[in-house]
Formats: sequence, structure tokens, C-alpha cells
Amino acid sequence: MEHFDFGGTGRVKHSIFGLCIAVLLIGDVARAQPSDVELEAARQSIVDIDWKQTIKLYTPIREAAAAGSDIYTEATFCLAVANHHVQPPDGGTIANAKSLYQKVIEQSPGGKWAARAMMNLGRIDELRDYPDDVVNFDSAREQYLKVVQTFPNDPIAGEATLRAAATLIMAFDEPDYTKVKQGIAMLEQWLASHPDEALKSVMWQYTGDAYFRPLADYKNALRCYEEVDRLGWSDKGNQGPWYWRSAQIAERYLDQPDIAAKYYRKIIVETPNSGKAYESILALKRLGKPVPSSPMFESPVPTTQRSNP
Amino acid sequence: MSSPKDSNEEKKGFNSQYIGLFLLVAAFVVSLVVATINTYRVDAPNRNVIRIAHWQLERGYREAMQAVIEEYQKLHPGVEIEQMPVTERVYAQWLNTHLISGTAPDLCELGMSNLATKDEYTVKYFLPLSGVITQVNPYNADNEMRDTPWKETLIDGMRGGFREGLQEYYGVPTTMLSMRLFYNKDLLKAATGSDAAPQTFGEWMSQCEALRAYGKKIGKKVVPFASSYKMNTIQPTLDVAFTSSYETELDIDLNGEISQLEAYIGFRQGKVTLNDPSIQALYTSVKKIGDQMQRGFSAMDRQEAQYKFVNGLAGFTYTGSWDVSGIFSQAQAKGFEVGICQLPIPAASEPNGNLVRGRANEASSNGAGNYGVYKKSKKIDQAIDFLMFLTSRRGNEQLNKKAEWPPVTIGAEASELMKPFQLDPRGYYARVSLNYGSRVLLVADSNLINYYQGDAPFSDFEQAFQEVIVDPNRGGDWAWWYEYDQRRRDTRNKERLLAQDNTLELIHPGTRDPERNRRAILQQVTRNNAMDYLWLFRTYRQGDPTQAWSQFQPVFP
Repeated sequence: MEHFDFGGTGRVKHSIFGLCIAVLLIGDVARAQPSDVELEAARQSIVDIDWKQTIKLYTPIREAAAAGSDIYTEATFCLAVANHHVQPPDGGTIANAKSLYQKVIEQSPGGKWAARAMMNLGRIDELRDYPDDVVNFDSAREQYLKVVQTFPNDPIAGEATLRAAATLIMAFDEPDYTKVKQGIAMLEQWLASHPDEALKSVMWQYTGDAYFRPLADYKNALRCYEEVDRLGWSDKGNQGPWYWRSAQIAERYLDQPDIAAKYYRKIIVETPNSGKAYESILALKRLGKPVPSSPMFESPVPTTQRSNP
Repeated sequence: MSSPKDSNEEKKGFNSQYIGLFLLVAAFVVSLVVATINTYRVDAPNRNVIRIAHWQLERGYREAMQAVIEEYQKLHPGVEIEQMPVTERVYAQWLNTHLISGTAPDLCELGMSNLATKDEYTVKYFLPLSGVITQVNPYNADNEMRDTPWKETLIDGMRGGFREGLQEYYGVPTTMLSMRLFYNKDLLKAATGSDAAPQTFGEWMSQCEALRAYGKKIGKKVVPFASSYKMNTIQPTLDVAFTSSYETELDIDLNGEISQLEAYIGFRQGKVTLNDPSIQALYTSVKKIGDQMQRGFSAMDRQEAQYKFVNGLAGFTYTGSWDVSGIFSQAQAKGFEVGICQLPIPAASEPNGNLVRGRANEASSNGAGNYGVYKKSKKIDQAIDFLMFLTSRRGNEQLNKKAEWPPVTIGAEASELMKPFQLDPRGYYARVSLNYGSRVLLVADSNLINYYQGDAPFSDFEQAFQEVIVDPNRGGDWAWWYEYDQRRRDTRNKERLLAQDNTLELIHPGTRDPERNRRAILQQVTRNNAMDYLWLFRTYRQGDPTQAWSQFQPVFP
């Protein structure tokens, strides 16, 4: 039978045993904190949109991190994103992504990671991720609305509202367009109650587009575009086609030559490279409105001749 | 058996089997020495060398680039800029090797290689430039653009360097490109009595006929018009002239252009047909051009066409600003003068002139000659600084004037030779293209070229087109499905960029560019996951797309 000697040699043995435990614990703590270099490399893989590398680098970081720690949550989320977007995608990678997003939501409910994880679950439902994937706008909308309910004062709520409304508008449910109208109403209500919404210009433009097509409600479409114009266009420099559309609606469908002229002028001055500046000059002349000067049209027509060597 | 003498000779003499080994070792040592010297030369701590690689071996470009480099080096005595011109035949392989091995030049012309063109590689190897292009270009301090963001100092607003898939600028354009009609003034004068450029399509065709007759008279085979780029670069000008007036009828989304889908919808609805006077006039006019070209012109390549022109065997040729320097110098050597003009369109008084709305504008052209900054460059700031100099008014004027290319920087003066190449903003934009989808295009193109070359009547093309456009598996409906599918893929691809943006924002709060994020969301959400394409099909084809497209490999919601 073995005897434990608590004095002399026993104390030494005890100390060694304790030391081992301490080393193991310290080792565990050390493992819970991956080096800055490892973490930086993993984060860099996201900058490089190299999802395979993200999986490779974040997997050991997550395994080493203490469950529930910030690093653990970050690693879980990033692994979810990487599985969500790694190529080629398939049912397995998307299922992994969903499971990992779910874990983020369970681990840090109410946190910033959870909000985006919920949004991303909606994105998986809404978008076709691989050839046989079946999309589900209704369940996507449920996810988005859950984000709005859970994080009503977070900026992500606006984005979630836009996405939820889009799942209705995308129904294009002729002949009554009930869902399209619900989506438009959702956006208009949100805009009315959230004047500081960061995505308000995007929302007005998208609402205008929905009024324009499929509803062919030109009056409301122009009202929305006017709002966008007041707020500033989100895709600055590429708003030429919307200027042209607004001018056409105003001139051809609503008989509002002043508004039409405003947009023709904007094309000449702000988006001269849109390809429609010359026609805008002709339109202003046709409407009897002043034509603004443009450096583009001040240069002479390219000479048709004579270049000597 | 060898004698002892032989054996001694073998020992004393050189063993030939070692020659190969010796050469191999020598080559290895020399390569090692050269590589070490080069590495030291570039990376030596006391030297500040920036390398710039491009494939522009056209006459004058390297000299022009060198002149700008020397000007820059005068301003920065400690900096050396090394130009690395590489022939376009191997540029892709050369660049790929250097990008992957981490030894790519600090500045690389973007193009040719997948690693420098495809989004997934561009993001890996090149620096996103949004942060710097919104700053002012200090080399414009001496002109009125001193407070203008760098991006806005270029004619195209740097759109030429923008990657839509990445919502980011990765390149800075350094030049503009445009195409014009070149003509041999001496030959024209000899044939017509005047060396004036044709002002109208009718005048041009008359000159071509006169050139043909002149060739017969002097016993030389003169081709009135030697094509460099077949018809696909010529036809768009006439497309706009004859078909832009369809815009009111066909542009259903009122965005100012007639997409191929809108043209197809119009075709299916009978709003545009091959028998329309404007469409007939278009094909007839292009055929008239084809009649002035050499037989079987579709097989002629750029070099062959230019050879004919610079040797005085062709009256006209159609090519771009990039060929000016070469053509002019060769023409000078041959002793004739060259004139340049825009491609003429029919005047109102000429046949079909009543069907012409006007000429096509060139306002929406993007800049070219884009240079990107290698992400692993050790001298990123210096490389960007040189790029700023290269696209400052002074630097860009110097580059393009000497290279005889059109400048991209606002206010940079073009050389006399380049003045005819200045982009013309006057004219129309929309045009009808009925070749919807790659499968229709294949059939239409091959039949049209036979018609244009005089190898087959128009009715052959007409019959082939009418058959293929309504073919459920190859025609317009297939193209519609394909566009729908691409749009869905595009929406999904945009999600990847947004995911990256959102994840980085969670890791480093406050670092996301809100403008870029809003733009990406807008571009994605307004595509409606391509569901509008299904609605368009139901509305304008009066059918169920899931049935019409059941043969393909789509996934429906």
C-alpha cells in the first residue's frame, strides 16, 4: 500500500505537483490569449478577402481562446463569415456558417457581434449561396425584423428595415402589388420616424425605384428622387441615369418642365460623363430654359484635320 | 583496350562530359550574381528606387515616360525611378511571377494578367486608393486645381481605375483613348484632286470609289479602306446615328440608354424589326463600308492593315490614338502626309440621311493606362507620389505630348497630333443592339460579316437571325435567363464585399468608410436579387419564366 509522506520528500513532491498544475494553468491562460501576431494575421486575411486563410488562422485561435472571451466571439464570428463566403460554397459550408452565427448569438446576446450574426442569418435566407440553394424571403424578413426588435436603437436597425422592406418589394406581386406596397410603407414609416437614419438617402432612392417599377407611380417616384437629391446621392458620380429618369418623368409624364430643367442642368454640370449631357442641352433649349456652361462643351469640336508629322 | 598513353592523355585532357555541368554551374553563378546585384541595387538601404512596369512598347511611350521620370528625379534628387517595359506577349506571365514571389515593381500597369484584373486577386496584390485619391495632388499647386481632390483632376473622374465589384479604386489612369479615321492625303489628292477630309458619309464613299479607280488607273492595287479592327469598332458610331431615336419607345426604365434586354423586348413586341427603314439603312451603310475594304477583310489583322496603309496601298484606315506615332513616322519615311478625322455619318441630304439622328458622343469614355500600387512595395508613399506627378497637369501633359497620346488630366494640353483625338462630347448615346446574348451574337456576327464582305446576301443573315433570336435554347429568352442569373450572382458577390466591410468594422469600430458602405448597399439592394427580371418577363413576354427557362440551370425562389 502506498503511503503519503506529507513531510520532507512529500513536501517536495507536493511542490512539484503544484508547480505542474500552475504551469498547466499558466499554459492554459497563455493559450487563451493568442499572440498579437497570430490575431493580426487572421484579421489581415479578412482584409485580403482570403476566406480559406481566415478559416485556417481563426480555427486555432478559437480553440485556444476561453469560451465567452472577446477573442473567442470574434473568432467564432469570423469563422462563420468565412464559411459563409468561402469558395466554392456548398450546403456544408453554409450550414457551418449558420451554426457558428447561432453560437455567436447564444454566446453574446445583445452584443454587436450577435446583431450582425442575426443579420447574416437573414442574408443566408435571402440570397442564393450555391446552385441548389433555395431562398426564403419570408424567413429572411423574420430575421431582419428580429434585429430591428432586438436592437431598435442601433444603426443596424435601419439596415435591417431596408432589407426587410426589400424582401417585400422583391415579390413584384402583380396585379395588386400588395407586398410591394407594404415594403414601400415600411420604408416610408421608418424614414418619417427616423430623420437621422444613416441610410436615408439609400432608402429614398430604393423607395423611388419601387414606385417607378413596378407601380408606375411616377408622381411618388419623383417625390422620392427629389428627397434623394436634397440629401445627396449615395453613389455619387453615377447618379446620371436617375437624373435622366427624373427629367423624363417630370417632362414627359408629369408636365413639370421646371423640375425637368433642373435635372437636365444637373446632368450637364454634375454628371457630364454620363453620356446624356449633349441631349440635356438640347432638352433645355427645347424647353426654353437657360443652358449652364460646362468646361466639357467649351472646347472646340475635335478638328477633323490636318496633323502634320 | 586503351594504352597507358591514352589513359594519361585522358587524365591530362579536358573531359567533355563535364562541359554541360560546367555551363550549368556557370549559369547558376552568373544568375546568382546578377540577381544579387539587382536586389542590392533596388533594395540597398542608401538607395530609393521605385520601379514602374508597363507593356507600352509603342513608339515614343518609353521616351515620354523617361522624360517624366527625369523631371521627377530633378525634384527629388534622392529618388530613382526605374522603368520596366515588358512586351505584352509575356507581360502577364512576367507580372504573375513577380506578384506571387513578392518581387513585383512598385507600380504596375493593370491589365493582361488575371492577377491584375480579377477582383479576387487585385484585392490581394494591389493597394486600394480611395484614401489618397481624395487628397489634393500637390503637383497641381501651380494651377487652379490646387484645391481639387486628385480624383477630380482627371477627365474621367478616375472611373477608369474603379473596380465596381470591389467598390474601390485600384488604378490611376494616365491617358485617354479614342479611335479615328486615318487617311493618306497624298493618295487622296492624287485620286480626287483634294486632300480634304471627308465631312460626310457620302463624301467618304465617293472618295473611296475614286481611290479604287485611281488604283486601276496607275496599275496598283489600292484598297480604299484597310480595316484594322473589322466592323465591331466602326459599327457603334452608325448604330447610334441610325437607332438612337428608338430611345423614346424602347427605354422602358428611362435611364437614357437602350439595354440589349430592352431592345429584345422591343423586338418581341414588334417595336423594332430588321425591316425598319433605320435598321435597314444601318446595315446597308455598314455594307457600303465593307465594299471599300479588301476582300476577306475579316481575316486581316492590325499589322497587315497598317502595313498596307503605311506603304501607300490603302487610302484610309481606322485605328486608335495609340498608333498615331508609329503611323506618322512610317508615313513620313515613305514620304506621304497623313490626315485624321472622325468617322463620317450621312448628311441629311444624302441617301438615308433623313434617318440619321446625329453622331455618337464620346463623353462617357474612361481613362486608360491604369497604374496600380503593389501592396508589398516597400516604398508605397514614394510610388504614390510619383503617380501623382505622372497625373499632374504638368506631368501628364509631358507624358502624353511626347508619347503622342491624349492626356487624361484636365487642362493638360494635347500635342498637335492628338487634337483630332480629343473626345467629342457632342452627340447621342443610346443605340439599339439586337444581338442579345452570346449565342445570338455568334450566329448574327458570322452571318453579318459574310454579308458585309459580299459573300452572302442580307437575306441569309436575316433568316439566321430570325431563327436564332426566337430559339428557346439559344435565343433572346436564353439571354434573358442568363442576364437574370448573372445579376443574381452579382448580388451575391457584392455580399462578400459587404461581409468583409461589416466584419472589419466590428473588429476595428469606426474604420469603415460610410460612403463606400452606403454605395455598396444601394447597388446591391436596387438589383432586387434580379426578381425584377422575372417580373419583366411576366409583363413583357406575357409568360411564366420558370417554364420558359426550365431547360436551363437556374434556381428560382
